Amino acid sequence: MASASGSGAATGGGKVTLTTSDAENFVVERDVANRSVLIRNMLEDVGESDQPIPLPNVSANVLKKVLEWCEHHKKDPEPIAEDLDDNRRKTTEISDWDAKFIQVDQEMLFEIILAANYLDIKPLLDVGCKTVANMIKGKQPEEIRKL
Amino acid sequence: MSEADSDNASFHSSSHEGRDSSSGSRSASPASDPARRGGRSYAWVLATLPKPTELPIEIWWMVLDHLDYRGLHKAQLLCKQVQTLIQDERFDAILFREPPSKGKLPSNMQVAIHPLLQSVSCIFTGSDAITWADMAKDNWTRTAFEYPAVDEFATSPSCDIVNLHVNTAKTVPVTDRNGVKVRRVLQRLGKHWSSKPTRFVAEQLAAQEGVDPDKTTWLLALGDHNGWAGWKEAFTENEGMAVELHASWFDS
Repeated sequence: MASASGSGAATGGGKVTLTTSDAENFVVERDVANRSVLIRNMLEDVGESDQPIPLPNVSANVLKKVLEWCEHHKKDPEPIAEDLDDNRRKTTEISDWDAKFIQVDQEMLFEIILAANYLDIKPLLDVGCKTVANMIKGKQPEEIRKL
Repeated sequence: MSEADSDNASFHSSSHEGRDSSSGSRSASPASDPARRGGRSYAWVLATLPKPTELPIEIWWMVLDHLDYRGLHKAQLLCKQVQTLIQDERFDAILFREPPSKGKLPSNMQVAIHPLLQSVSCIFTGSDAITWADMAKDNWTRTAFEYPAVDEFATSPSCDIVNLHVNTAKTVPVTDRNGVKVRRVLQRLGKHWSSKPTRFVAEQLAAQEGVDPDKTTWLLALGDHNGWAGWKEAFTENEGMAVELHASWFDS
């Protein structure tokens, strides 16, 4: 997997402030915030600024969870688009850390998926979708009867 | 969250219809975790899934892209909306509903074998020449013909000609210009078992079993070795004109 990390402007050190729908502020490293393509693009557009970034579609408890994921994955190389597509159907395997991370109740899982979609964090969105797929696969008996 | 519980209770019935019309509350209380409940009822686990109406369609596409044949069939039970998505041609190959391409398939290409065909592990023929599917999870025995999947294509991609290799003596060709389906394969097999063997085999059998050579069948020739566990990997042969299916025998 080749690294295709974003342009220089958004990969700097500093801190970024994110404001949730319920008006809570999160101050995070830029590396962490950059996991979100939405935020990265915003930062690139705005340039150097101390302005908090509003995230009207994400609440504090969900953002906290999402940032936990971003923090753990801040050093991951950016997967290239075709890679994602290719690997998709092959596996619904999820890394141990991600599997543990995503062990949340269904409502939170759902919120994380929506947030990852909105924030454009593809690998996290993928983890969420795989989890739902595994829930469907894991449905027990009657299998063949229902074919 | 007792509301969620009562919701789930109603899903316990075998009917999956109408769950969309239940109240919009999400059944997500920690207490509703299936693992904590001991038994894992099928209908119940359905109820713990995100309600399809709560996930945007674009997300459902992404979820469905992670599902295999069985997974997609299970997902079809979720609701009409998801069912409609699964009708999309992008799932045709996985769901064995892709009709044969007009042109030939590439030669020596591996094709997928229908799961139902793989599940048929025992063949018995009585007077009706019926092929039975021995489905371990069923408490009663049903024939493979009773599964709707029997009308899906036997292989993916599908092919006009499937040659069955069920014993060393004879290849059983199955043909259908519109693509060979599971049903046709099984019917052909049933017919094969109850048909007369070659003269040589018939005479040998007659001598062994002390029966009239004209009354012998291929099934009789098999003796106790009348079962197999699915099929070996299937490939196209004859320059992509046909798919060769080799039974994976056990007990022989």
